[in-house]
Amino acid sequence: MTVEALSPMAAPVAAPIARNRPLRRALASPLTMIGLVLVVFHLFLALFAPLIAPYSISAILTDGLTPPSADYWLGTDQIGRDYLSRLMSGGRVALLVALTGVSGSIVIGTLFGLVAGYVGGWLDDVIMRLTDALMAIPELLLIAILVLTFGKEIWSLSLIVGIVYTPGVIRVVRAKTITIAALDFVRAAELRGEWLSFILMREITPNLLGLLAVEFAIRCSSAILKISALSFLGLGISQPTPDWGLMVQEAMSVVFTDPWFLILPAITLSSLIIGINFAVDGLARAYGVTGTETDL
Amino acid sequence: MSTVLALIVRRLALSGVILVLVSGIVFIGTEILPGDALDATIPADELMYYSDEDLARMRAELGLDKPAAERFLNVFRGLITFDFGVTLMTRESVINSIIHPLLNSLIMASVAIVLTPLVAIALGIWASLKPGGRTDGIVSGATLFAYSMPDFVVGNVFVIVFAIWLGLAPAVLLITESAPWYQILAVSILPVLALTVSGVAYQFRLLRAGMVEALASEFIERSRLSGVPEWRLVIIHALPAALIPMLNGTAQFVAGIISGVVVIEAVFKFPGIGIELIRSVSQREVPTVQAITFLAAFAVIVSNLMADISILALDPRVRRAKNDR
Amino acid sequence: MLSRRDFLAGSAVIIGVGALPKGAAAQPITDFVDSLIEGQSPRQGGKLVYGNPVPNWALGQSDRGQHPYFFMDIQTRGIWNALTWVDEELNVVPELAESFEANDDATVWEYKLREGVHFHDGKEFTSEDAVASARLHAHPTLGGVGFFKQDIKSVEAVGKYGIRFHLNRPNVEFPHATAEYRAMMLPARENLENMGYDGIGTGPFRLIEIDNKRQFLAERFENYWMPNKPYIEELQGVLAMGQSAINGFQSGQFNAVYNADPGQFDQFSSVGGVANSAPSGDQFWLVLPKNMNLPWNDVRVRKAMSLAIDRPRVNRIIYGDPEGWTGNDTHMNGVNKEFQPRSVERDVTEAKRLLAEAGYPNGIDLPAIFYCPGYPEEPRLWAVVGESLKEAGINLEFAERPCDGFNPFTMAVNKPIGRPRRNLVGARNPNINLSRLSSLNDAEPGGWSGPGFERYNELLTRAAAETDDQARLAIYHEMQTIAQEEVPGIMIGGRRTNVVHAPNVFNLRAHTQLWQGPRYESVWIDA
Repeated sequence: MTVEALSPMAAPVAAPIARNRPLRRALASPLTMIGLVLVVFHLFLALFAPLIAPYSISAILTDGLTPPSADYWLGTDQIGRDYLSRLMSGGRVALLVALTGVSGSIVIGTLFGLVAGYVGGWLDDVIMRLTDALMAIPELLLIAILVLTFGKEIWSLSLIVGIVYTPGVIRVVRAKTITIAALDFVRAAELRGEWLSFILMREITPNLLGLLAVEFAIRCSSAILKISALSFLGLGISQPTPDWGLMVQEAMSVVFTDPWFLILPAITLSSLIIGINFAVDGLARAYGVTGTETDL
Repeated sequence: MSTVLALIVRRLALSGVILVLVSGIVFIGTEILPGDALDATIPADELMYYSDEDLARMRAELGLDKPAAERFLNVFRGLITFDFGVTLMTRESVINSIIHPLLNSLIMASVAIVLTPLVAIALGIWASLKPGGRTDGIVSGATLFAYSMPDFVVGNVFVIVFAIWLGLAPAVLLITESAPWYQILAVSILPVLALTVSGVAYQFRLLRAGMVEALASEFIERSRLSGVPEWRLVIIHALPAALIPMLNGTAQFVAGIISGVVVIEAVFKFPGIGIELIRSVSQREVPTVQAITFLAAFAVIVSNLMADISILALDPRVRRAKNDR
Repeated sequence: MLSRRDFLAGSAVIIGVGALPKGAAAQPITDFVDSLIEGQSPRQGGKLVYGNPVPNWALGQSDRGQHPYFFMDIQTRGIWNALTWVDEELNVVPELAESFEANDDATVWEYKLREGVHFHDGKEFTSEDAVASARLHAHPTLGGVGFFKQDIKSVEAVGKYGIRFHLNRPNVEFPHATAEYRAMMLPARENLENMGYDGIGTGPFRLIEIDNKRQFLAERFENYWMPNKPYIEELQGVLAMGQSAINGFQSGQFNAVYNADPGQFDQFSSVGGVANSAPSGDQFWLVLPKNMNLPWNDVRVRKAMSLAIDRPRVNRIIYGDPEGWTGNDTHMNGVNKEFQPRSVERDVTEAKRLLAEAGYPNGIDLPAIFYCPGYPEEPRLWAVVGESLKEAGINLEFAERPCDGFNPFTMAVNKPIGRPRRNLVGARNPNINLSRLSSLNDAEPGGWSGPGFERYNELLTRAAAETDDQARLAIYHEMQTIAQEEVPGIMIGGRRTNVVHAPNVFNLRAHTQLWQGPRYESVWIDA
């Protein structure tokens, strides 16, 4: 009996053509399509904003707030900086921090989750208690106190995001590992006398990939919202770096005469989050990924 | 009965352990990495203003020159007995400065914690009457939208729409920190609503998933075929089973409410613990930050404990299970 | 609006501040108040609710807001009065004093107190209270009025309604110091430490409750020393940072907002708000500590900084006043007739040349300067300043810190100078203004030293004793020239105090000295 003959927990995979069926099924749903388009659009924007933006994000070009015009398509903000350029670059820092931080938490979380779920015993207990303790502290508060310690630079925010989201990943990975570890092919590997790292890496982990992908996306969207909230509160990204959360906060002082300054960053930020959520919903359902936070 | 008691005692013990770990995390997070409370108070680019003698003297003043273990015990003892020490800047008692905001936030959070599940349940029932139908689609879509909209945007929009345009609630909370509870309650209406919107979305999704699963079971099918009306099936049979996954998510829910409280208080300038926290973080008041974080975790753990006990009451199967996961 | 042209031409429009001829009193407050009501039919009653977007500086020090030092804001004249007041023309006039007179060399000032003034608890205001209050304000540790601490040697009572100040050095402009927003007359107590915490004063309103982090409420004092005043029944002040001021005004909860961001006047006028601005207001002084090994120890670097900042642009973008006056690197204000503008407003090429000469041909990175958003437009202002510095290759970050606790934060290190920061500088008489850059002030000169500094101090002493106006003017000009040559610090100026109010509120006026106004005696609200 070889490992390759047995199928993983995901949808039945036999031949290349059949492998595309879940993807096609997912793409057939209009909501999922919209989601994917939005996500790709935002990634593109985040990567290329500095190149395609018409002006610099901090250059003062006019004498204060001006309405949209031929020169400045979305007008200029209260300091006189081009709003379109700032809007385009508004997601870069948040996205970068979220992506690096959550990637870190996925890697570390999977490691600990595997160990806790597979090895069990007292190690499992210790890890679970630590996880419970970390998760007992509300996310925003944990982020806030870590900002106190590590600072507000991009690398420190990424580190903080990583720390905050690791416990959740550990929990989810551990639960799934326990289920997988009970399956025949894993038992077979154990009987064969394979090393622990082999079992963890080659047998169990490949079956976690779907779950990890979904978790990554969900946590990214949560992280982006948290970082924007942090900037809104003044504890995160600060002037002159553009950030949608910060722009919402600035917009509130002129909302009665120029509501666009509130609506634009809010919609842009929400479109990213909605995109991630729709895409993840559709793909997860199509690929039959179970055991994530949103699926019970 | 003794099994239930044993389970409850076990839960209490576990909660205690977690609380110790939380204080450890708070201590480590604020006093050890990468420096101590003094370094947390002084960012790197400002250290140039301090001579070594200055730093040593300040450390001694704050008791930071003792070994880490001893300091942790002091901090731990302080946190557990709710004696949070004095502030770094004005040497005034931490507990005195946070007790009123704490109570105010408690009032607001309690209403939200009760209201959110109720609204989620109501929506969940409504949507589950015809799973996959139009109502279901609309409600699910709306909640997904609410879930994706950042809470600070929702809060600000509520202020503009309900307070300023419609005049249904005050736009600015003209109230002092130590105002009586009924006044606090009166001004909490709009903030609580804003808080509920994001919370409901997530709870609704949990509930709906559980309901769909429960409604698809064989028992329900048979009951349906034998003519039991749909609403009876939904409310009396499916709901209790679906509530359990919701209750399992209590810790996360309460933690989420607390995070939401911080943002909503900032938007509405509600005299609560959230804006105290923001002030202390920007002023680098480490003792206050430690106190607030610890209290928040305490609230989460307590509510989780209560939820676990409720699950025991709701689901007989759990009582018999040895595995508490 | 004072235009630069008016200034340089020395036009009569310019308001003067200067020493009083001995013993004279300008238009009494009662006359000023009456002149405002003339032709109006004020209505009794109503409630004034004002939002103040300027954070409470005192919070980092205490939250016992009943004390005038730690009140919610610096508009202390709602609850208390001082011995003198500075009117809108920046002349000092008697308030709780009836008159004041100096001896020949202006080292002894005698004030005659007004009779028939009562405190909110019914007690009469006498010299006992005046002396105790003055001693508190001048106390080295307990006192909160810097100008008292630096000038007053001793205080004594003169009969039941008189007080005599003995000064450390001659000061012809001393009555300005007794008008300060913290120099309030308080009921005397045995122990100076306990004075002031009961919230009792002689002002038009009696304090009912206060949470100095959020708001206060006060009610009309029937026994106020100006009969039949004030007209308003209740006064409520609310700290309203950020958009709260706008939200509150839009929703009708506030009928006034003090110190709005001038760039946001539209937000108020869209619901009928009326903005009135004083001729001038506070300025922003950058304290540059020169006692640490920082690049700006070199005077050429400081000159380059001053030449590179685009002050007219700040006036244009932030205050909408392109022709307005700009800070002249001293504490003098554009409304002082002794004000001397800088010889060159801006010269980026010269700045770059100076930097290269000082050894920074490719630009320079300077340490961060801290500010707290004491005015709502400050974050925007410092963004503009920072951008204009970049044009000369100077990278300087203006780091925002929260306002409560800002003072303790900046003064916690490098005593007595503190961190590089911006200070708010009010418009005052020349003696007080220029003394802030002298050896009398520990912090603001930032460790300025050398022959120029010594000459400056010499001139200050001479001016304080000089009774001839022309001679004094010449001394003030020379002092400003020295400061502009050596640039001990940098002044960004041009703000105008403003008050926004609902159209049915009358006589609520902005004052150049932010804390001297609005005076509430003539304010009334139409139904």
